[in-house]
Amino acid sequence: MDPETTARTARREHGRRRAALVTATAAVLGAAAVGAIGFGLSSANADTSQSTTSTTTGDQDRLQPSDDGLSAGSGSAHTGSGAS
Amino acid sequence: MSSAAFRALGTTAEVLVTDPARLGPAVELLHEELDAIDAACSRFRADSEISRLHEAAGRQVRVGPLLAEALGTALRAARLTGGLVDPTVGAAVRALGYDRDFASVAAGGVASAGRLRAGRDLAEVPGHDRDFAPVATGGSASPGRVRAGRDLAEVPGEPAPGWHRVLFDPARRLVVLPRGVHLDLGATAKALAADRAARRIHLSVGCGTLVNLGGDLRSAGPAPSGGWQVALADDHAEAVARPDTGVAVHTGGLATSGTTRRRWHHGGRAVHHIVDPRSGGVPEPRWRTVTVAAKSTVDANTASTAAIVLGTEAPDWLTHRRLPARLVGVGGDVVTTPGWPGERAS
Repeated sequence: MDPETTARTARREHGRRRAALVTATAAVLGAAAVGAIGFGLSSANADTSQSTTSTTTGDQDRLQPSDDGLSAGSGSAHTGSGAS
Repeated sequence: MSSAAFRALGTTAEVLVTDPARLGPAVELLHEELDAIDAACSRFRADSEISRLHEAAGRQVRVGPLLAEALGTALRAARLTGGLVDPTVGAAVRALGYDRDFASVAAGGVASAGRLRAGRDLAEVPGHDRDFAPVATGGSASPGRVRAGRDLAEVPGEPAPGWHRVLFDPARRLVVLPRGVHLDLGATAKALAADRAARRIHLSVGCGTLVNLGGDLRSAGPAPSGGWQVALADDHAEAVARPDTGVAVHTGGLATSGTTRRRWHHGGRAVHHIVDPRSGGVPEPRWRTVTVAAKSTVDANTASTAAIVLGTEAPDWLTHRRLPARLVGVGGDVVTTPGWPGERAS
């Protein structure tokens, strides 16, 4: 083979090796990711509602208004609220 | 109706029951609940579960049910506020000198950073460092409290790492806290304690119950005729004696966040304890106090804290979420959102 053909062949081989390396790396990373997901860990972006069962039953996608929980004060105070 | 109060979580814990004969068991249950939440969530105790989680940063840890619930609650608050209330603000708060027991500040004592054992102070309690000094009120023995909010300027900081960096599997209670991420569950954990305690006490003793933890309230069971009468003021401890106004709570939670207490000087500037996670700094306050009613104390506290961070945008933010609220500006102006009852003269 002439030098130009030899160089072209070498470049192709280098490209193939590099592609194989990238593929292998991606496979390893993918397997790691699948393993992590399979293990159950996820970013906190995921719904964390399962751990708040006793706090906020119902809709976890918004802060929950009270249902007629408030009216004008009357009479002497039982307790107080303010900054602490 | 009968009530009892004691110190816990760095503030006042109070339980009220509609049947006076049930007060004793109610007090015992409240103690149990607060001890448990403190042991799980206090960043001021070296032996707390959250301190052990910090020590295990970068590794997977299985946490107990209560810390898992508190962490899930805090992450939910972050998600629903778009990061306005973010538990990863811990490092920013510490950087402002907010890392030690408030009682030691008032006494002028010195404690080892992060190694406080006494005090059981889960709630945000400012500490001091070399350039730390509590803001006092004209010589009164009330460090950390001032009458108005006008002397605070915006203090810059570093943004919080972000709640989305915490890896959490709530079903298995598995947590990976990245290195450099420090949690502060103070605000939501105290509200969670009020929710849990009120519900547990009501279910156990069988009468109407109100739990008040430093101004964060939760009603469970039948309220007294006319509702639980709650006085509102800048300082929760003085609200009954010197109310600005009053409101009746029938169900759910009520919480007040404010910038008039837990204040101190850091680096020559006055700061308050509510940090904006987006900047890591202390925002210049628009509101002295924000009081919000919601289905739970956690949701009320989440919204009131977010409102302090938001400043001028807070009324629209609260209205959009249909949360009744009363906001008192640093100049004394009062703004209410739909659903908040009319004011009565105090």
